Amino acid sequence: MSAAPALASLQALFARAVVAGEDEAVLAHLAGDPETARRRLGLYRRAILANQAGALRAAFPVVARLVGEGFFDEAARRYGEASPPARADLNRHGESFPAFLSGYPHAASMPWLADVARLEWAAHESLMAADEAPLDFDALARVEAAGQPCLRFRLHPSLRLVRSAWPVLAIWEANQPGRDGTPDREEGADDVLAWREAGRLRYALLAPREAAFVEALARGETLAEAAGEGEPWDFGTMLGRLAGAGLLCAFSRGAAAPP
Amino acid sequence: MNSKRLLIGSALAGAIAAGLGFAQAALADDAKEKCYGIAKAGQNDCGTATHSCAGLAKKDNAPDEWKYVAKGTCTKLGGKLKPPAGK
Repeated sequence: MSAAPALASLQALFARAVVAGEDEAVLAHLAGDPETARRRLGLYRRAILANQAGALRAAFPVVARLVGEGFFDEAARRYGEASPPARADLNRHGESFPAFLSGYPHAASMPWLADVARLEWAAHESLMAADEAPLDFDALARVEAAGQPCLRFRLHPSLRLVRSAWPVLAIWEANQPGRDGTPDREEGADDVLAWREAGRLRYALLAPREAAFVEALARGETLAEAAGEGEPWDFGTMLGRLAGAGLLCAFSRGAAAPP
Repeated sequence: MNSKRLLIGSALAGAIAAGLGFAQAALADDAKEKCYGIAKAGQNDCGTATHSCAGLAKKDNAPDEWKYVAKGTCTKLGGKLKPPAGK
């Protein structure tokens, strides 16, 4: 046993051992039989990886069901090694799991899998997002006609939009509890809006230009910009739906987006 | 621009009336919602609930060939999903 390093560097060595499997450096500082110490490090490592995999399974139940337990656990293990949780809250572990899946060679035969994962993460984040009250519609009604095209909106923190070239919503719905995994549709490019209302996840399938409209509003574009050039279309219905669902939370006029 | 301005005016009027909403449009089938929120709440203690036997296995999980083969409900999709146009 060599001279004890400072606590912080000892903890860093311990973290390397349990996260990256690099046992030797920390073993030099552990008392007792090295083989026993090595086995004990292994317990920590496997408990941590199992916890991470459990957190991922809670956030990505449909992906887990789609690929099965063995495949999912191995993907979770590799992901946990490559991208250890950045925060102590395991609910936040998995943000880059969809990107990991899109580059995971063993998932190459399922090119839609990463998009299903994106949809699940959007739902997961939506359920954890902050609450916010709808905007003051009386104040909105007082905006004179000339100022209306320049209105910008802040959308609800739980609002998420997932745009996919695959029928991800059909796949997601088919893999909810009680369904056997057979989707109602096999084609489609799904644009899915997800949000939380009264503590429950809500979702709707949007038309492409509706999705582009919501995307533009979320970027802080004005109503006129978001409506787009060219053929006028009924974006009023979409705006009304957003309002009706409590998803318009603030508005501002002119150059700057609402805080 | 004038017609667009009119459109924006009526769009806002609709939004202010706020009589719309997705519920009727896209969520007519309430069964589709399941109890997703409730299920999520039950999983929120995942940090403790999964302090599991899996983590206490004797050996590190060696990556086996079978862990690379997807065996879940993805088989129900078979080769039926067509690649999107332009891919």
